[in-house]
Amino acid sequence: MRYLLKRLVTTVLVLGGVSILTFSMTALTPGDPAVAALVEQTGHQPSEETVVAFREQHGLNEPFPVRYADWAIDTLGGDLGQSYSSEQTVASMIGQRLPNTVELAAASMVIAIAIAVPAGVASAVNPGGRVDYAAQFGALVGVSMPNFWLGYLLIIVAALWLDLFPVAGSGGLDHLVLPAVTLGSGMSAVIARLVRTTMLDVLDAPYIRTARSKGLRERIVVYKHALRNALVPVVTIAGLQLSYVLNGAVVVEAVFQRPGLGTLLVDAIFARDYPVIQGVTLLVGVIFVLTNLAVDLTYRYLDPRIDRRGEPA
Amino acid sequence: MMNELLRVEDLHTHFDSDQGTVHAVDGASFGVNRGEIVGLVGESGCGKSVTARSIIRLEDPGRIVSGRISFDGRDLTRADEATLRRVRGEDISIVFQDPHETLNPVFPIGDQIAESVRIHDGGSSQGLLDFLGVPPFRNRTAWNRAEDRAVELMEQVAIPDPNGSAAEYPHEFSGGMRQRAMLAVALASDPNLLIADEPTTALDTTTQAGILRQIWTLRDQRDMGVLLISHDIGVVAQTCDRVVVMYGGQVMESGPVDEVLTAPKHPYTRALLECSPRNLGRDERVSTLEGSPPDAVGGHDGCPFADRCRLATSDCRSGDIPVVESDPGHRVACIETPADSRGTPTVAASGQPRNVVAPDGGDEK
Amino acid sequence: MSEDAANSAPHRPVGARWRRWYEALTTTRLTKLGAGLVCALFALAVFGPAVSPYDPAAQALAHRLEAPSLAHPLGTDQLGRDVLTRLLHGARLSLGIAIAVTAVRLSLGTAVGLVAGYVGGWVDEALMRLVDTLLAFPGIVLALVIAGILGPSLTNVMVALAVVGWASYARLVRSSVLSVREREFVTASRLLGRSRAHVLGRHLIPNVVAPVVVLATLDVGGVILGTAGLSFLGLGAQPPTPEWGTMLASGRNYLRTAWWLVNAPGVLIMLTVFGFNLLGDGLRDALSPTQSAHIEQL
Ligand SMILES: Nc1ncnc2c1ncn2[C@@H]1O[C@H](COP(=O)(O)OP(=O)(O)OP(=O)(O)O)[C@@H](O)[C@H]1O
Ligand code: SF4
Ligand SMILES: [Mg+2]
Repeated sequence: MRYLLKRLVTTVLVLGGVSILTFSMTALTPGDPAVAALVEQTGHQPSEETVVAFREQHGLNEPFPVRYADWAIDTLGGDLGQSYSSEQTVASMIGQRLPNTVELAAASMVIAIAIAVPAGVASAVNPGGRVDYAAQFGALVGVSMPNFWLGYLLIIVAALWLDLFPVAGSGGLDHLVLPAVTLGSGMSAVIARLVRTTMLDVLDAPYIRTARSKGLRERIVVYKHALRNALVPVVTIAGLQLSYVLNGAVVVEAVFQRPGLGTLLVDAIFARDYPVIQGVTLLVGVIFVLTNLAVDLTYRYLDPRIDRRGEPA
Repeated sequence: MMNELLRVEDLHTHFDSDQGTVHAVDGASFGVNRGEIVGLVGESGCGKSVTARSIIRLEDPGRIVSGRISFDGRDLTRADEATLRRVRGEDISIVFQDPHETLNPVFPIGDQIAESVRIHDGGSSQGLLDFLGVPPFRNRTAWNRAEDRAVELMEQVAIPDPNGSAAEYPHEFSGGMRQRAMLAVALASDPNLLIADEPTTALDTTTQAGILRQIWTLRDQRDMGVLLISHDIGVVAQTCDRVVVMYGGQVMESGPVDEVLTAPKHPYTRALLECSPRNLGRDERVSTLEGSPPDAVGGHDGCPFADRCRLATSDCRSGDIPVVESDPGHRVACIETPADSRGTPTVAASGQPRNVVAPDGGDEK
Repeated sequence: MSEDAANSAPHRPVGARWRRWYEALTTTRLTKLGAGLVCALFALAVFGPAVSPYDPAAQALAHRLEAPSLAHPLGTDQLGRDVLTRLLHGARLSLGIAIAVTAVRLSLGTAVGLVAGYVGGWVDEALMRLVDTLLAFPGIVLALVIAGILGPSLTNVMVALAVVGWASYARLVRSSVLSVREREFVTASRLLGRSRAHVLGRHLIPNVVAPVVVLATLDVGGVILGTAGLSFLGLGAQPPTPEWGTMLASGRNYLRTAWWLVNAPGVLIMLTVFGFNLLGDGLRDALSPTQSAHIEQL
């Protein structure tokens, strides 16, 4: 309980840091952000009056701390402000795109785990064997492959040559397959390597020998007694892979031209639509921090030893 | 012998290490009868645990290079996995030495005992999904029965409040309670042979006595054979019928407890007894012996004790050391085995036929 | 860096230390493959552009989108430029950027880690919160935003990648400092009147070199992917710069007609990252046991 409290306090602190970082990013703009935004919108150098009016409209005349405070208070109330380049509020733009990205993230996570766990286990059960060698090699190729290229490779083969799936866009399940495979296979490589190492560790543990000494079938020893223990670190890392999903989503959404948070962010960056950039960045940071918290709590649930000790080892 | 349950014959178990091949067990031979408690003693590192693990064929990462382990007439060194599984589930149980993490940390104690019960009851039909507890495949009635039996077993090994404790995790148990829980796991399969590797080492005297009494009772009730590995000569003297003394992976002397421990014939046994009075401290290692145990790397020619033996001659360092059956069932592996068990060991001079070699177990042929 | 390590640990001959690294590089077949790939890439980057008969920027519209042939082993692009030549020039760019960015990450992170671990107190606390915050963002997303706000250019991409990537070095170095400081009390070093600086210099640097080098090796691959990814999104190098990610991005309009335009840079990026990953993995596996043994013997 004490740990939980401490953990929550740190989480809030980090979230505060994330929000400051996000907000102050605008300050990096070379020159005047208002001018830069207007140039992107209109395509020519704005007049003095337009700039003043724009500043007034978006409250850019206040000093930085005041603007941050305003923004932070609005944000806490769920108001992320008004987009510079469209009539919509940032919140509603995000609301439209978020489901697509969540769908992609979930599907690729499922694919990643479905590939990674059996592959990692097969590797660990016979380390140094053919299967292990192949799986490790495959995993290394997987982590090394840029997912934007993998995406095009899949488009060329599965969409253009074999005509199995649509090339791009979003919609039904068939639009989801190629992006999810692209994102999932890279992730599965990381997870498979982790499953392998933790399984190797766990298979050496005394309780595995106990399980064998009971006359248990090897399959049950591996998938019940060993995997359940290996799952503890695997869940942690799989959760932290969310970072990979979000990184990857930006690129994969661009490859498959899926409307999602990633494409929203990239478009906003090119349009210098600062409220949208801030909103999406903040959301990504918040999602990531909260996932870490969730992972931590799951970890505690999976490992009964931690729960009552208060502090993780 | 008709009621011989286990026979280990010239067992060699090796490990590969960076320094070379470790001859952890280097030609050990002994047996355990039904209803008999046999103590296995020897200094740390002499190969007791490896012997125990070899018997149930969990010697990995070591390997059995030669020898025979027959259980109830079956040769376990040649058995396939399915047979071994059956033997482990129904005939031989083991309580491992390391008290730390021998129970799976993520499952409640009761479940782990119940699992053993189910393996025993279910024979070879272990469904993965059933054992994983996936709802439609989980055999509820069977598991409920097994859980009831688990509570009974916990009661038998004197775990207080067995109903409540069954839901607890290993880390919530004290060391002594964990040992008892391990014993319950081992007994769940109603074994004919129980191997207990230092089941009481880390425990206080009361708990230790309790567990030993348990083993004693169970032996009487089930006519179970027991191989009890211990450092504690006192424990062995109180609990066992026979004792096997190991050194450097070989058996130095074996025989009835009252003969071996009161009238030791082998120089090593004597040395061991001299520096370990019966009231040796609980987890005090037998380390007061002069010199150190032999390096198991590469094995050795001749008698493994030669480097520390006061009676060693050049004959001791080469060739096979004959095993002499001095009295029925009392075997000694020493060239210099004296006839008079109490006198200063001298060359066998008093009519005891020297070099009448009776290889251990040879009486059966 | 290993030079330092050797000097600061006089009980080990310099030769032995170098041999350790050499052995680490050649213990397994995969590590050798990685080392070979990386060497080959460096060779291509250094000598390739000089050997190639084409100009990476010269357009030859008559030869646009030609499939791979003897004259153009990897075909030509939409402006008739030789793809292989452009890739070789791109190798120079990518490797140079990756090494520069990694070096900045490493120096910055090491400095912060040393300060945090050494000074401790509120300085440590503040720096670590900063590290937490940075690590709280998925790296590419943060780099994307920073590079985007700074404006699309290769330099800005480098700045962004350097800024988002030093935090893990800081964590690693700080924890090494702390563990050495802890052991300092266990060992008699201090009782022998040795200064803190001496203890840190003698025990810390050798301990931190191997893990930092491993991290950096693996990081090079990550930076290459990051640079290519951001360029792919249009934030990095702008055409006609022969950057791998940019080339891949401009090839996407010709997926059906000229499949080599995306695949040639794709394969090359993969091989490069693969090489560094193999190398990093091999180093880690080979150095960590020695490393822990070395820690034990302190
Ligand atoms: N996994 C292993 N790898 C290499 N050598 C091993 C391994 N397990 C045991 N050994 C070696 O086998 C020999 C016998 O070990 P064993 O554990 O059987 O001793 P023991 O008699 O049970 O000692 P203790 O009383 O300390 O439990 C030792 O020399 C040990 O180093
Ligand atoms: S055989 Fe020789 S060395 Fe071995 S115990 Fe007997 S006398 Fe000692
Ligand atoms: Mg032992």
